[in-house]
Formats: sequence, C-alpha cells, structure tokens
Amino acid sequence: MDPLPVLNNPVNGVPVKAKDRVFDRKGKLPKTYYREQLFELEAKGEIQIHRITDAQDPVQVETKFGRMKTIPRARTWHHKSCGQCGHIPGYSTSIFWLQRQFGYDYHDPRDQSSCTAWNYYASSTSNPAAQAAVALRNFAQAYEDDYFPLIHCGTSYGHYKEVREELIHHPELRDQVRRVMDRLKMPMIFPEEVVHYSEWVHVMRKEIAARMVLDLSEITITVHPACHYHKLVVEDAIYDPEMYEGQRTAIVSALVDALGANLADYSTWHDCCGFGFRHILVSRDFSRSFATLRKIERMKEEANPDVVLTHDTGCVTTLDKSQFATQAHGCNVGIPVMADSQFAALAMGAHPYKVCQLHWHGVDMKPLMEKMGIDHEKAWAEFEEDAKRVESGEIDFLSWEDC
Amino acid sequence: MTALNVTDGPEPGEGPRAERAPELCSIYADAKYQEVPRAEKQRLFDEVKGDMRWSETLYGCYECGICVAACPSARFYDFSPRVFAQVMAREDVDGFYELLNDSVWDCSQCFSCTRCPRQNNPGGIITIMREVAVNNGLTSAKDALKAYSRIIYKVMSTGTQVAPDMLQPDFFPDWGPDVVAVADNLDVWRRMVPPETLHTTELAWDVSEKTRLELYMIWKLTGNLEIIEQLDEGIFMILEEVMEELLEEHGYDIDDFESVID
Amino acid sequence: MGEVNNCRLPDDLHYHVEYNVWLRDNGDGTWDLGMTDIAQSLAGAIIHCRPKKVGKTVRAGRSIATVESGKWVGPVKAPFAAEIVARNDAAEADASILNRSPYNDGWIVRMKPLEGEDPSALLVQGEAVLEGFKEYMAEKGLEECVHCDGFECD
Repeated sequence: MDPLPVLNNPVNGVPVKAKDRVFDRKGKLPKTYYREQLFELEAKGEIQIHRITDAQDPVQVETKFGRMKTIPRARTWHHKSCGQCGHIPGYSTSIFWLQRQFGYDYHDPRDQSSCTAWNYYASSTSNPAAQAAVALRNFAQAYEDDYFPLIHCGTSYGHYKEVREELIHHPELRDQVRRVMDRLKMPMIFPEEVVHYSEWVHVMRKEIAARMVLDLSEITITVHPACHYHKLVVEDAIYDPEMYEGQRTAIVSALVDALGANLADYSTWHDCCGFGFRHILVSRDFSRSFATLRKIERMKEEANPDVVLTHDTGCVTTLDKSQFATQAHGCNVGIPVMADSQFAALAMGAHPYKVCQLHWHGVDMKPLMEKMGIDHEKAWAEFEEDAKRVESGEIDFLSWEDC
Repeated sequence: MTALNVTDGPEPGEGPRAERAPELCSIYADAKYQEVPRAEKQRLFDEVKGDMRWSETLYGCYECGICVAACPSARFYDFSPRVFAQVMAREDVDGFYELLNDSVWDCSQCFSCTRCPRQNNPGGIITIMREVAVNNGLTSAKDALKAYSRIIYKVMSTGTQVAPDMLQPDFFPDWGPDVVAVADNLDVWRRMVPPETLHTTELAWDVSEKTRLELYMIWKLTGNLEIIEQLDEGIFMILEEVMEELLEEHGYDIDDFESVID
Repeated sequence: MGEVNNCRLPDDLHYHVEYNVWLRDNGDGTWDLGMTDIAQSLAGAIIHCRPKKVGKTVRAGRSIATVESGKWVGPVKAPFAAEIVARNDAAEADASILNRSPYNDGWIVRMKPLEGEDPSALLVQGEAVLEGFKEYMAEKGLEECVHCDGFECD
C-alpha cells in the first residue's frame, strides 16, 4: 500500500504528511470493552446475549484497537434498510444475491421493522426507550427465528451501537425496555456483536475475488466510508494494518484492493457525505452542496475515479442524487455511485439491471459498465423482455431463477 | 452575540431593560428572545441536563475547534458544535435558548464532532436538545419539522421510513430524470426486484401485521404517540386512528397502555 | 362558477373554509364531501386516499379520510358529526382523481349527520366562500391553483 499522499494544506510552508500524526493502534486499549460489559449484564440476569455459534460459520477480524470481532457468514437474519429497499432496491438485492452465490442459508424477514434511526436523527420525535425497544424487538425476533442479525444500513448499525452503549450504562433504561418487552411477551436479548453487511463482504472479499469474471485492473475507485460506521462508537470498526497502515478503517477499501482495482485517495476522505437525515428530504440545498463541493468535485479533481463505492444507504443516496442539480450549475460532477455489494456482485457477473437494479441510480452508469466490460445494451434488452412478461401478466414477479 | 463592555454600560440586572424586568436581562446586548422569562429558559436548560445521557456528552471543552473543522453543517449554516459545547459548559441559559430555537435543527447528526480530543459529543447534546424542543412543543421545532412530518407518519404507521411511491418528481425535482422514470414504471419495476419482501410500492418492504402491532404497542408504552400529539395535530389524528383500528382488531384497547417512562 | 386566483369553487356547493372541504346537500339527509381545488393544489399530486369504512361514526373535526401526496399526508376533516354511509372506492383505487375531478369523481365520502347536527349553520355559501378562501390562500402562501391535465370541475 503506497504511503498516504501529502495533504494540500501546508503548515508554515511545509506540507503536512498524514504519516507524521500516527494513530498507534496497539498498546492503549480502551478501559472498557462492550463485549465484557454485555456478558457481565447477562451474568447478572439483566439481559440475554444472542451468541454467534458454529451454525454461523463465523470468522474473526481485527478492529480499531486490535481487538477481534466475530463476523457470522451463514444463517444471518437480514435486517433491511428503508432507503435501500425503497429507493435503491439493487442494493438490498445484491446483498442477498452474494449470499446466495456462496450457498449461505439466510432469512429475509417480514417480521422486521425499520430501526427508525433515520427519523430519530432527523426529528428527535422519539426517546431512548422507544429506540431501544424497536431495536430489541427486532433482535428478539431474530433470536426466535434462530438467525443472527446482519444489518444492511450504516445508520441502523451506528444507531444500534449507540443503543448498546445506552443499555450498558443506564439501568433505568434497561428497566423501561424490560417492561416493554414483557408486555410484548418477547425476550430481552441483544446480539453479542452488531454486524454490518459490509463486514460480511469484507471477510468474504478473497472468495468474491476468486469468483470474479471481470478484469477490474483499469477501474479507478474512490471510497467513501459512512460516518455512522466508523465515527459513532469507534472501537468495533474494522481496521487492518495492511490498509492505510491501520490509520483509517479498512472497510470497502480492502474489497477494492482484493478485486484488483485501483484505490485512489482524495483529501476529503474523512468528510461526511452531507446526508443530514432531515436535510436530504426537506433542505436538500445543503446536502447537494456539501456532497458536490466537498466530496464529488474533490474526487474528480484529485482522483478522477470511474466509480465511488460506499457502504451505506444515505451515502449512496446523497452522493448519487446530488449530482443532477449541481451539474446544471456547471459543477465538476458525473461520477457513478454504488454500494460495495453491488460492485462485488457485478464483478462476479451479476446482471446489472435484474440484480443490481442500476436503473434506479441517478448518474449514468453506462460508461462505467463499458469500461468494466459489461454489455449494458444486451442487459437492458433482457430486462425489458422480462418486464414485458410482468406487464402482460405472464409472470407476477421476476424470480431469483430469472436472474 | 456581542458582549457588553463591562467597564461601561449597565451591569446585568441594571439599566433600562432591567428596570422593566430584572430577571430578563442577558449579558449580551443583542440577545434574542428577551421577552421569554428567564425561568422558562432555565427550566428547558435543566431538562436537557437532567437527561440520563447528559453525563456522557460533555466533559469540558477547551475550544480547539476540531469539531467545527469536521462538521459539514458548519460549512453552510451559522452553526457550530463548539458553540453548543461552550454554551452548555458555561451554563449560558440565554445562549442556550437561542441555540435551541435557531440552530439546533442545522446539525446533520453525523457525529464527526466526536473527533473531539476530550471525547465530548456535541451531536449528542443536540439530540437531547431537540427532544426537549419537541417535547415542549416549541414553535421553532414544529416549523423545522413541518415539511418533514410525513415521514413520521410513514415510519410509525407502516414500520418503514420511505416508500417507493414517494419517488415523485414533484417532491424530488432536483434528483433528476431517474425519479420520473421510476414514478412512471413503479408497479412493473417493483415486480422486477427479485426478493419477495420487496414487491411493495407503499412501504419499503412487506412488514408483517404482527410487527406493526408490536410497534404500535411500543409507541404507546414509550409515550411516543404523545410526542407526536405535541408536534402535529393532523399527523397525530390519523396515526392514532390507524393504531386504534389495528389494536382493536387484535382485542387491545389503545388506552390500556401506560407509558413505562415516569 | 365561483373563482378566486384561478381556483374553481362551484356555486352550488357548501364549503368549510378552515377544513378546506366542499359539501353537497343530496336532499335526502345525506351530504357528499370532498377536497376543494385549493386543497388539491396545496397537496400536489395525490398518491393515496383512504376513506373511512362505511358504518363508522366520526365526531366533528375528526378525519373521514387520510390523503397522501408526494410531500404531505394528513386528515380530511368532517365539519360535523356524522355516520359514513358510503365511501368512494374509485378514489382509493386511483387517488389522482382527487386532483383531476375534485368536485365530481373525486368525492370522498357520503355522510349522514348525527341527531342534533345542523350542517348549514357550520358551512358557507356564496360570496363568503370566495372571501374566506382568498384569506386562506394568503395564509398558506398559495398564489393560485394548479390544474393537472384533464382537470374538470363542471
């Protein structure tokens, strides 16, 4: 991995190298460890812990301070994302598709509610008890269904870690939530790890690369890490000494590396995308301005990538949808945006429209697909053919077999 | 905010404004909301500090400004996470009331500010302040959420926050022609999504009735429905009705759920 | 045909300005209710309309239907207490008729006022309608009504 680039803002005329300020991963572990705290609470009878067992075919991976996190690969309960399922259906579909390729048994529940965190961060029209109860209801359901939760959305993931912190530190909150769960006649249970689907992709990256059917060596990629993945409760984000010398989270970047594509850096890597929760819906001038000026334009100027990869619903939405209006203002935009799972699926030969559903995205994907060696015209013709079968009533829905 | 020069001009509690109402006088000459009684501002301030999460949000701020550098909202709004930390640390009740009304809704809740070397959480302070604003029915909160409140109805009544049929060109004109294409082809395109749970247009995925029922019970048990009553009468009305109907169908009385929050 | 700021307000109907609804006296003890031209303009393209079930009783000021557009969701309120005797299933099947034909095909419910209710006393007709809505539009910041293709109000 090349050394980090010199940043564009010299101090006293001397360019500052990111390497000069080194985060020393090992040696200074945080005093508390959420896993220990969870098991302590279980020992006291306060809460039950849903464990990852061999049925999950688990694997261990390093996190920020060097502690190991267990990632389930099989028998996962897919905790879906509102924004993905509603507006970027190819995102959810690609996650399921990847698991199906590896023959992993999974559960796609109807007995699942939104984490409601998008609404919570937008409006605060809720309270810690309601948020924790919503979380625990989903986790209790997963436990009853005997599958381990795998969280699709970055916001859900960060929020559930926040809920974990609050439950660990506040007995009065545990009491309130216990009374709610008792009334619902559901157990009070929390998973031993909060796992994001991109962590599943991360631990599967070599297997994914082994099944690649495309040559991605000419594809330049910039990565945008989700704030709620690595900034909110930092310790269980995946870090790897081989990626960015352990200075930044390895998530998504390690996948790009494994797929043999070119990982390009840019100066605003750490910046938020500008989603804003409420802003993206009702104050979009902020979101699109921030996304364009601080992220897309910088990427274009400094890295000129073929595609931006990210791993969160809000980030895909903001980075993708912000580019249309700002193009009208003459901004330097026009980079396709998709999720790591969609890109990994394409690399393995997934249909760009039937699986990755790229027609729901804003920025034109055709130049990227051409560069990746995907015949998008043929693919769209196939999609339209199946769409006609749906329209005529010959089939009700496109099935997995049709993909 | 311009501070009065303390060597000339009236002392706090003195001078023409103070003669009218001593308890109103802020130390800032251009302070807003002077007409709001100090006691009311103090009450809201105490409500924020009384929240169970308060002790984890602020450990003392030495004004380094790292949070501001990381903050996306600070680039476009008259907003600063450092000011929130400072105002709360100094217990500046007048400043607090201004922030509560004027800038608390600018925050993007990205928590980039937790880069703070003291491990403060200005985003977390703001989460608590927003809850206090909503719970107390502040007009500024209602105004900020007026255009947004439809999402509240969606998530509380269906269990998902956004639906495919919300992709309408008159709501998202700036998102481009793909929104028009989706809206025009919605029914067929949703049927062309392989996972069975996604064959929906009115909600993100097919949420079971059992889950909806459990959610409605959670809203009642955690006082969440009552929060909405404070915020938007129209949303509250239609939400309460849809909840009442489902609960009744399953033999529950909506009034039989007491909040677990004391 | 009454009109204010490009908004059509048929003369033969009654109106409740605050609730932004029209009512038609059917002469047989029942009233039809729907959204006005102003209401459909404020809502924008309507995507869902769910009228209450037949047989339900509603109090004055309570909702007889939930209406959802691209940017708004809310109740359509009854000006007086009544029993729902009919609901417009066509409006539920295709809510866009509320935009296209708010006063005819876009009726939402038929209501029978409860004992003791006096609808005419609560509703306005004639000049008062135009004046009332002019003020209402100014309050809501709606400059003029917007009509989609195929809009009709005869």
